[in-house]
Amino acid sequence: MEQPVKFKTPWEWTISSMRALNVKTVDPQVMVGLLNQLGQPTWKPGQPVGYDDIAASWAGPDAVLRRVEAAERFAARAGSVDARALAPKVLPGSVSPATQTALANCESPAQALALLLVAPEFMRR
Amino acid sequence: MYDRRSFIGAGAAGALALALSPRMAFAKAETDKRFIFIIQRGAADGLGIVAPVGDPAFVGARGDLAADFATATKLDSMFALHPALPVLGGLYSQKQALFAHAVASPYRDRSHFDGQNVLEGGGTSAYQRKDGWLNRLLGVLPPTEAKAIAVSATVPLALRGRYDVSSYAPSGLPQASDDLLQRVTMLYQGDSQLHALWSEAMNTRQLTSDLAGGGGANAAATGALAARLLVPADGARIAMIETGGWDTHTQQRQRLGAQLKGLDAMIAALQNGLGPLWNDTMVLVATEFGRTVAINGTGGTDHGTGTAAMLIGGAVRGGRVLADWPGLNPAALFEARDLKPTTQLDAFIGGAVAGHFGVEPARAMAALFPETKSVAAVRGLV
Repeated sequence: MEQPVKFKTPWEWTISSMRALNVKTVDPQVMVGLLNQLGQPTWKPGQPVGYDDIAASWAGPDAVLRRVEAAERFAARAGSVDARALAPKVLPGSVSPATQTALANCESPAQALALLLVAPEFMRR
Repeated sequence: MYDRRSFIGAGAAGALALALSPRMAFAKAETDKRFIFIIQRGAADGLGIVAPVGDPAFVGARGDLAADFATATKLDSMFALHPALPVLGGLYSQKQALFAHAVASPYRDRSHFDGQNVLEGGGTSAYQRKDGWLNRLLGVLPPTEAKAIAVSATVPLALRGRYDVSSYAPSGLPQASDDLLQRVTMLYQGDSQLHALWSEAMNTRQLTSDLAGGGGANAAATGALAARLLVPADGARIAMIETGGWDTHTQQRQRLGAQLKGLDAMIAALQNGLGPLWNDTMVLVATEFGRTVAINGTGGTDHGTGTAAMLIGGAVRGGRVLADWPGLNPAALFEARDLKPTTQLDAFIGGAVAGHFGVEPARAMAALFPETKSVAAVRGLV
């Protein structure tokens, strides 16, 4: 499989994170708040043509930082998940050696999980 | 509506905000006196903290930034204190806070790194000294069992040197987030798009972090922690607290207000925590250089020269602003843009420390600031 190239929208990143963590149900209020924070308010694209489909619209410095903050929260609640084992399952064939090393060097399972969710290959599709 | 702050606070139990708390380092010496150095990293705007409202050029030069002082408490006929500093204002009226204005270290350029190096090293130029004046102070005090405690992994330059200084970190928990951010930084190094975005995000975070976090709660917690470490008879006698977020190139009015709220909360927590020891305590607040007199195009100010420093505590002869005021009219400015320094920060610090610890001023100057020892220490501060 080739390396993912397109920066995920906040919606895509959130859904893929939930899937990776095997989360089946979410609190709607929490999700509304989260998507506001990540910069894609639900059903409020802010322009009549809908949400932007251009990577640059979503790839801002603050947007990336917010994903890291959110990933840390997700990971803290995820229980015992081994990100090293999870990585090849959610990113089949595209986990870079750099990411593998970074995950293996993490100081805790939760930290590794958070790092996986913001790894370059997970930030893109 | 959710905003960024409430999201972080509610979500991560403020862990990220805690991670941004100011950092501390401690040193120990045989004396009843307590001394705390709060460094303001990023060039704090002395003109926006202790404002020369009596200077005819002040309002014209400062525009919007002068508005905060319309109702501010006057310290004397010239100066007024920023309204976000009520605790400091109270201490001033009890003669326990003293401000020095138009001060500067020997450094005359505009790099934070170099300026902080001179402020902490106590030399006259950047990277001249490998040790710090706060460490050299330990050599002047009665024989020591100096040991180091740092909240961060590293001891700041001011405390580095031949005498042992330790560091103290409250627990691994708040550091976790900072650690994750560092790991993200490393992970993004090989990805040009994410590396660029991340670098920018980290730069912004640096500017807005620290002292203002949690509406002053983080700063208060740091002050309370420092006090706990200074109170025990066998505890530290000298502490250094690092604060950041003073580099107000944009939106200064709002940001400086938040910073000062944090500083005020930190001072209050120190006073409360030290209890009766407050009478033997001196707190020095100082920054590497000041900021431009004029406002820039983004509601902020840029790197300048002269600024203000503070001495606070029961031992201080406060209730006054020490300033050989150079004036703010254009002809009076340093390089036609900055407050001209008229008092050497070294001499102010040397005099304060000498007075507080009962050390002969010339001896204190020679030990702390060997390159500027010919300058007489400012007397009568403590």
